[in-house]
Amino acid sequence: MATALVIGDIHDNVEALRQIVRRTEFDIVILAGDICEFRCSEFYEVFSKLNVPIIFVHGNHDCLPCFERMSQMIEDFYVLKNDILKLEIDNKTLTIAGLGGVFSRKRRDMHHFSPIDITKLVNKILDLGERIDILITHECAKGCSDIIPYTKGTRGGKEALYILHLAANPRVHICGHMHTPWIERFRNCLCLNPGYGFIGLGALLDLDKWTVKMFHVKFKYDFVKEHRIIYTYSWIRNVKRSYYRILRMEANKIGLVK
Amino acid sequence: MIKRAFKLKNDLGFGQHDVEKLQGEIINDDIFILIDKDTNAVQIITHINGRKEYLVLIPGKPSFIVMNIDEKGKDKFIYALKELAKIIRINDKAVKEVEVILQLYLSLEKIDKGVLKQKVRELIEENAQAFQQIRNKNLIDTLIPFLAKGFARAIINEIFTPNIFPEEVLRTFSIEELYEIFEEELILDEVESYALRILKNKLLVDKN
Repeated sequence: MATALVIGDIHDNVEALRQIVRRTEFDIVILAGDICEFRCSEFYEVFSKLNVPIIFVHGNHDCLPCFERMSQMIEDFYVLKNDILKLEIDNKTLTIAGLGGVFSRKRRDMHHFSPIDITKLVNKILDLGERIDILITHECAKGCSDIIPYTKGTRGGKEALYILHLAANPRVHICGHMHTPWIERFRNCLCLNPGYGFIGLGALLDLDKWTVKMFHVKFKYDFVKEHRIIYTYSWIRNVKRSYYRILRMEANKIGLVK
Repeated sequence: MIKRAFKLKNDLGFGQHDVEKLQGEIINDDIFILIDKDTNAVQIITHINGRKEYLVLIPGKPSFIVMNIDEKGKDKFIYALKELAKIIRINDKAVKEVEVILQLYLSLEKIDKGVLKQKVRELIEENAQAFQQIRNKNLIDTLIPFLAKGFARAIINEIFTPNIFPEEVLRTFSIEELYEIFEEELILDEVESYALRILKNKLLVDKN
């Protein structure tokens, strides 16, 4: 029985990742975006020791160049920006499609995807002509585990992703971004949002029976201090030119011996 | 004067406790300090010729700075930084690093747009003959914007020499890091549109 560890929205809290991987058992890791932005060297240390396939789809707060570098340096580390991957686990072939970033009609930088990108992935899926087992996006489709936190069930997903749903007809759609852990059925598909990984939330997905077990790994940590660090990043994100340079320079440091 | 951010190699070292001490603190009549309670960031603000200039120190691991400063304001900020270090504990190494980054930032500002334009003109003159061989006007039309961008970026190689940086900057940053900063942060929009104009004149007017 193969199990996938599904986590997202860790937001640079490397301790959360350490605790989650220490206390769970899994055969594959699926990362649903917003994992790390400025502390990627520490994340690299953890990922490089896992020795299981890792599938990563980036969010709007990720250092994409860092993860691309990790995929070059770690065996079985796959970055799905807008691609399909076939992966063999326990003599079973999984077809996984991924689309990274959040939806924007106009912006097409590393953290956003546009209708053109959706169309490209849809075409790839149609060319493949098979049902997708797992569809991973950081942004949620409307009505698909997209509950906005601290609201009475307000939905925050994007209708633009419906076409991807129709084309892929996935068994499981994994998304992140909303920070609310949620499982629901949507058009014959199991929608899974593993929730806010920053505080230790995640899910274990059984790849044979297609069932999900959510978990909350509790650990002692100064969350106030860590949240403060996340807010500091907004200072840097506002300086677009420098922000992308800093991300690229971070990527060059990955894997260098300290 | 362009707003830029840098990641520090050394942590600034101050925290919430230190920032609380700064409430209502004024360095002098011209220099003010603002605190961001959400992030513990310290913003040093001054006005030069009626224009607001600032340096934001963002603590944490890693620490960052964001700045919008010109040459005239540099000394004021270095003074403010030293005064600040007397009130709260700031890592000495980080203070030195901020000073070095200030110099690096200003050396980017100092590069004369006139020189850049001159260099791009020379580069186009040298290579225009090759492009004039293209007989297809539509193809030239498509290529010109890319060529302009390419020529503008190519002059980075021409002007990038370690001599343009003060010694302290060279001691703190490797040549590769400096090149990367240079490549990303040098504002080439004006040079690009200049290259576009020359290329249009050279390649399209001749064809007509």
